[in-house]
Amino acid sequence: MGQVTVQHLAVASESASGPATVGALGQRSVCLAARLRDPRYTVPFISVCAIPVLWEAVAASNVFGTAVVGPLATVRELYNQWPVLWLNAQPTLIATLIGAGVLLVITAVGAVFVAVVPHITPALAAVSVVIGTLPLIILTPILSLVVPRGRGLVAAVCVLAGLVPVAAMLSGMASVGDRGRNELGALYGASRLRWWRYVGFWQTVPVLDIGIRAMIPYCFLGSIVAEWSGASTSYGLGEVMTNALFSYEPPLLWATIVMAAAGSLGLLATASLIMTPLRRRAQ
Amino acid sequence: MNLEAGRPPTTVAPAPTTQPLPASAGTSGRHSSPSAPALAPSNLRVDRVSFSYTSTHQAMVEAVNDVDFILAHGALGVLVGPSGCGKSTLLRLAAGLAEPTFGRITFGDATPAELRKQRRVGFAFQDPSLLPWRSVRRNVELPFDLAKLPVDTAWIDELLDIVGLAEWAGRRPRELSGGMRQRVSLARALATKPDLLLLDEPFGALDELTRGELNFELLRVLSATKTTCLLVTHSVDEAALLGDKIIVLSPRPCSVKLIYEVTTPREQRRESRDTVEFLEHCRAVRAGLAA
Repeated sequence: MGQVTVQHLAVASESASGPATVGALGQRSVCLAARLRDPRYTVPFISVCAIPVLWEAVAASNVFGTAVVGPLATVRELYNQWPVLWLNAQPTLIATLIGAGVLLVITAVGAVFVAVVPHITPALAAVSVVIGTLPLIILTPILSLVVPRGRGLVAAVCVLAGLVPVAAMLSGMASVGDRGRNELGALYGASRLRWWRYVGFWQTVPVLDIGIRAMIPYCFLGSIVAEWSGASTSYGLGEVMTNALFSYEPPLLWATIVMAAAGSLGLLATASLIMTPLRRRAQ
Repeated sequence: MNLEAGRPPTTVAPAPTTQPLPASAGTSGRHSSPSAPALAPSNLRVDRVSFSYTSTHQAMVEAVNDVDFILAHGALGVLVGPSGCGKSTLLRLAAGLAEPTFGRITFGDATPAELRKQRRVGFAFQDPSLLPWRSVRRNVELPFDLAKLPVDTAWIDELLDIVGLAEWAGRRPRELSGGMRQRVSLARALATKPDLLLLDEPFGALDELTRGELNFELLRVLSATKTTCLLVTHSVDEAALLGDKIIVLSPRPCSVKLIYEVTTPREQRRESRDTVEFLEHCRAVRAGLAA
């Protein structure tokens, strides 16, 4: 099947842009076909394809009335309302990026601290459990009394939401590596910081990778929840969702949800682009 | 091959070879008391060392009890004892990675901590502990990076050649077999041309053939570099084959049960494996372990 696709693509594109492009396209197609035969990719691929089909089926069945809008109608609404949605997506994305940036700084400082003062590991594990247990995001209304409403408050809530995976990540970072690796620095008289540069950091990259991937959706969720709670002044995807809900505009509500999901996926893809080469190098 | 380049000058006699034997000992081995010969400047002296620590259950665990022996400069000492008796702990004490509760360890005039600061100690762990993100060559160079020293490229090339991994220098550890990884670990331990080499069961996970080859490789490298070495092993045969001095330890807390000196010259060890003499060494060590 994959071979047929290659040939079709090859014939189709040879006439358009020459043999070099044909080769590249052919290789990509073979790669994609091979991946799709791999069960690790087949299941997610089928699941992703099944979601819109099921969604459309549920909408068409009219079980939930007009509350469920099908994917086609949602995409149409997304297209029609694009200027409004994009205008509102920007502050949410910016606040998320600010929050994620602050969390990255916290992660970097925490990682160095864990490496330089390894004795804090048990305390850090306890703190991460406490942070993971407490839904810090519920502090949003209190924060809105202290921090002026706007981008700063949304970013602050975003940081609170992202602290959960960050705490788990720092705790995980403190416990990776075998004793031999950890003692190499002491053996050669290296400072803890130097050891961390050559050994410590690299052995925590897999944990860092998972942690950052987990942190991004949490950050996005934090921003949206903050906007629901009225943390932003006027713009934001959370605001649009609330308005669409109260003015009963299900198509707009669904379009906003799709927009939010796409934004979160975009951020996740950016994080993956940065982390994947690092993880590959570390493994 | 200039294995001596860059090494500090030594004024000490070479490793023990053939020595007069008491009537009770084998044809080329002898038992000796722990408080042995006169101190030479770079002997490794383990002076009545004890070590205890607090376990996770807050109980006091005595791991090493009054261990006392001297290892001459350039000699290869082998620690043999039952599992969990404290052999590795003793090695960590010699490396300065832990401090004895009582007693002291010295190498010449230096304490293990000073040795570490002067980068005169090499350690190969039970697990090779290689860094998967670095190539074989970069793994061997790691001590230079950690110690903030310029990499001695010629020596690294030579080391890789000695351990038979010159062709694998650019590969990652995941591409190597267990034996090859151990060889990388050994090369890394030798990278800074240490005066004292500590090996914690470095060949424990290897097959018989590879293990045998690496044993002789180790003997060759140590003889060429005149490095003092303390090795931990479970194998009596390996101890009898490699050791100039075999220190038999009791179960936990470990103490010295027997010190057995093998006087067969290193260059004759390969041929001596099937001789009565070698079997006599093994028998004596086994008897010491069982006593």
